Amino acid sequence: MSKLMGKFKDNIFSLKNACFFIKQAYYLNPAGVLVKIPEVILQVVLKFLPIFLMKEILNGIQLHMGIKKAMMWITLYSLLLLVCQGLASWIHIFSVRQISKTNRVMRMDLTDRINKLSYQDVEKPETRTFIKMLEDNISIPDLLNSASNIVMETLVLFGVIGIICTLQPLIIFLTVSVLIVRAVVNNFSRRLWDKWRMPVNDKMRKVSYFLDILRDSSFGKEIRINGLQRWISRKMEGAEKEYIDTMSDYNKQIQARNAFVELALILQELVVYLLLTYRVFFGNLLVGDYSMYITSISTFSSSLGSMIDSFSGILKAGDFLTLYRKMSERGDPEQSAEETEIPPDLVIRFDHVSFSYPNTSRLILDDICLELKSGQSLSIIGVNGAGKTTLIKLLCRFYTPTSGIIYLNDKDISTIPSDLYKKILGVVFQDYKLFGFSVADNISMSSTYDTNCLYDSLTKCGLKEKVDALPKKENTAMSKVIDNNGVEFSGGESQRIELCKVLYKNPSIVILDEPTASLDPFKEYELYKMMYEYTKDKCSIFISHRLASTQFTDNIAVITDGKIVEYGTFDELLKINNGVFKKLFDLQSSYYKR
Amino acid sequence: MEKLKKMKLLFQLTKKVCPYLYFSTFVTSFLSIAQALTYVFLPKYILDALVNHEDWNLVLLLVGVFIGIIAVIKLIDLLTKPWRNACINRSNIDIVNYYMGLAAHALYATFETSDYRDKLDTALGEIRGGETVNFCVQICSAIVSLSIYAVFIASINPFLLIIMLIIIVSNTIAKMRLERLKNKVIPNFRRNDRFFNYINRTFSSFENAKEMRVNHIEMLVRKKYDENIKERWGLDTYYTKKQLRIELVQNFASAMANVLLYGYTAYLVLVGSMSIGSFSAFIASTYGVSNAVSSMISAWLDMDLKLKFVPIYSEIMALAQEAETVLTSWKAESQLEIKFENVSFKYPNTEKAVLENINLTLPQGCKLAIVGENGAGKTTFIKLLCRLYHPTSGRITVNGVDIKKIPTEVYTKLISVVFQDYKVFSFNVIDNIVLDSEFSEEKINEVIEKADLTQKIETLENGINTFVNKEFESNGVEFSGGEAQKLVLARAYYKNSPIVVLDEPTAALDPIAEQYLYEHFRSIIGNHSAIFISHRLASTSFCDKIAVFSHGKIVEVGTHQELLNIGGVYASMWNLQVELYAGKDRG
Repeated sequence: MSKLMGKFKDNIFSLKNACFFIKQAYYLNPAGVLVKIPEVILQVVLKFLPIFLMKEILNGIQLHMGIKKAMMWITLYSLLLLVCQGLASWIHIFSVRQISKTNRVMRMDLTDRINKLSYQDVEKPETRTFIKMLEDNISIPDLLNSASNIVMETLVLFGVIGIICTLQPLIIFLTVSVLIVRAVVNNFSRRLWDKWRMPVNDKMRKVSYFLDILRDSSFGKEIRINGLQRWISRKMEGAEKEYIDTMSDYNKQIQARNAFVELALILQELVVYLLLTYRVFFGNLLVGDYSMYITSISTFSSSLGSMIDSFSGILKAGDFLTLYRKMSERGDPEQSAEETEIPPDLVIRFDHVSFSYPNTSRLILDDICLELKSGQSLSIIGVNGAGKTTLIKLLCRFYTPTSGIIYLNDKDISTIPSDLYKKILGVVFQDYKLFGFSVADNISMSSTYDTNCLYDSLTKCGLKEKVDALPKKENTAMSKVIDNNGVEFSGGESQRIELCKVLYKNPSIVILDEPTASLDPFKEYELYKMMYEYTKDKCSIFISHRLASTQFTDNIAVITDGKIVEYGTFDELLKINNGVFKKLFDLQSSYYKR
Repeated sequence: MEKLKKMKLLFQLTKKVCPYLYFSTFVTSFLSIAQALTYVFLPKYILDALVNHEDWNLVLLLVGVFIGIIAVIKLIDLLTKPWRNACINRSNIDIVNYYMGLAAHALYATFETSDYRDKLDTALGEIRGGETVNFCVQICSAIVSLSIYAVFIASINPFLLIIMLIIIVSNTIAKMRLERLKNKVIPNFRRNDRFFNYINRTFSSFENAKEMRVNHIEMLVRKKYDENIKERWGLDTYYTKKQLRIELVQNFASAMANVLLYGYTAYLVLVGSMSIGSFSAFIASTYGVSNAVSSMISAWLDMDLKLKFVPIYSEIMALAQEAETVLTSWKAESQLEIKFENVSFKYPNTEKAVLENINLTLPQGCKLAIVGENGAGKTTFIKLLCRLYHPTSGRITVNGVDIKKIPTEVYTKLISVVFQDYKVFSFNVIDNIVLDSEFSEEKINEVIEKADLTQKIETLENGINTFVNKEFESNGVEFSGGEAQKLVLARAYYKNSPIVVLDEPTAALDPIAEQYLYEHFRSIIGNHSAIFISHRLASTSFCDKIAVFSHGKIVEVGTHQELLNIGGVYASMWNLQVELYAGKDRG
């Protein structure tokens, strides 16, 4: 019994989340929800109109009404039908438009919310599952249409049950029994899906993996050069077979249960037909009423089926709706607007900062103490995994230090309003990705741009000629993904566009993480020269494996195992015998001593 | 391409990929028609028996037969459903396999282009093998249903058939107009959807999470969404308004025809030429006829739509090339000399030559360094050697034999390449290193050590049986950029092919790991031939020969000292890097 209550509570919970979803839809685009009301009403009317009018006509014919009366009813019927259909079509226009709009507006709202989440929150598997659901399985229009369908079919069901009530109470008992059978089977189907969902999605994902690698050009190289076609094929076949077998097993179980529902429906039809024919034969039931009851029973079946399908659709999206609610109820972070001025002189201070990832014990950064002023540049050196990128992530406020504080002008950076902080910071990450939008969009990252500023930064990065030569200049799309007339940029050019972004933004703090990995020596040299010139009055941090570039920065910090083991100027560090920096530098320069 | 030819291609596709769909779809269709017809005709007899007050036992019998037939149909439906669903699932898999097979046989130069991939995606989305099945079965079912209804209606009164015909014609015209309208606007809707999907993915995806959080990107996001919403609103308005006009006209015509039809039949019943049962069956038939015609038109229009995509499918098929004639008897000798003889290359349908008149000899055991600025043609050179591309003119030979003529199974064993965009499979470590060769534990441990990966492997719980990434196993382990690069190096070492090519292999490695590679490279490679592409001229220290590429040509070839003496491109690159490093040497 408690299990049943538990299940009941679950369903109510899902319903509540669904209602929240609709409320949000209304809040974001009221017209989208409001237009559904007349639409639903008309749909219900259109379902009942034929039933009633047919009843009148058939009764009339049986009772030998005159041809004039018959024609009157038929004309009335056709006219009403015409009017209702016309209205329904007309409302449909608005409905379709509004659904498109609601879908897009809701999606935009969600994107906003996702981006307001902290980096740590977005990294959580829960968030990533939510995003994946949005991309792959959830259709907002489908959810909205399912909701309105449920309302419509429920109204129809009430109407039909009302009609059937006037016939015989026994039938109510019968229809309720069928309702119960259907509900029980559906509940079972849902539990079954919960059990099978993971394996089915799992197997599907594995098959998708093969599809992805077979479509990918980088994998394509690997596969062709090594002649791996058959090897991959065999593995894929294995995954496919598993998927098909899993789906088969699942379907078989569903079918077995559905048989019960079909059985119940057939029994119901049998009883109804027997009852009705008896009443017509031995009683005084008119043919029109008989036909009305028959139609009502079949409408009952189909509406019930349709409503339960829509309902299942909503329940299947249960996880999504729960996460949606969580995401939407999260308040917006406080935006205190006290300081809007960026002071000209900045001091960044790492005060005994240590960090380990949530739920891990290993210290990625261990007691980091560092100070950096405006007008100073710092190179951060270290082997892979030493903690360089993590330091940057902390400075970008993606994570909070496990202990210690990072100060900006003696203010804890976690207290600085994000609007302000974003203005101050300019970063080029190692794994940057450019958008498929225009060059101007990618560089300005905003809805408008300053042409002079834009071209200034392009010139500094040596890309002015290229952009001038493009068909739409700075409004040319940067890849063919969304615009067939887009132009692909090479790896080196893309990297320089990233630098343009920073130049355009003109932030007070500049961070570059391996900014020249794809560039040849000449371009790399030019770029470093330019960046050092540009960042003279700023606070800048450079991460690079190419130690020759470190001689241009004011200071160098060497990080090993999360600790700063050496700090000083280029000349100072080279003087340290057996120092880490000297060892690495000698290593790289040894090749050039021949 | 004319329609008949296109249809033929589609039929061939179904036959090749999923012929079993014919039978399963036929069964589904048969069950559905049987059910529909039962619901139309059997109640008529029950109703007539009731109204004429015939024997009650007859009524009971008729009801029994009616419910019985429905029960049987539903039973067959239930019993066959798993099989029918399995057929559909299987056909979805089979069509994907088919297309992947086609893609695998396309020339790499073609496959690489986003144009090809778009076409492949379109074909995969639109032409899925079941088109002819749906078409045939739907049309046949519609014809069968229509015939039965026509016979019935004619038996009442042929005049009714004529009125029905008028209704059918007006329905058809309306439907065709709607379709034409839809086809006109669909490309715009699709484009709008694609853009919508793109901005959703881009702005919400995890890989852009960092960018989104250090920049004020809200305005850009809003702008892009607003643009899309506005465009969609306009498209929807245009389409639905036109749709409404067509539908209203059609509804009006229907209403008129209905008055005529029902009026006449009511008259027939009232004067006694038609029973009430037949009247109700007739009403049901009109819906049946309407549905059958609708379904036939839909099938026809769907096919019409699909035919538009057939040329793309046909192109994909054509691009899956057959291999050229090969010398089945060619065997790799122990001494291999590779020669590029006047090789030029440009991409299909382009004018610009990416490589021009490349002449280069690579004797056995030679370690060649390739240097040059970005876009000079270095990677293209490698791709030609790997037979990913074919020279537009000139030829590449191995021991004097054109590489095009060497059988694939033999050639794939000759070369290992680690590209800049190397990829790790989400299988286990063994699979990633051994690929499809024979597994030898000794050998794999050896190459793991050579690739400096021993430390990482030791941290793995299942050792070399651990899966890379969590795609297939939840206890899979992520490999960092540098670790993945070492894994791919191990792969190349394991293959132990006579020619090894490394394209910027130290990009993700720190100085210490970089040095390890340089130091051990010669000993790992042994007396195999090797090609090493790198920006960092340090790599040329362990190579015998250096080729300098510039704008698609080889401008300088020689040893390190020879090139320095020339004082050309290489010398200036070298001096620049020396100045940065050695010039500051205080040690």
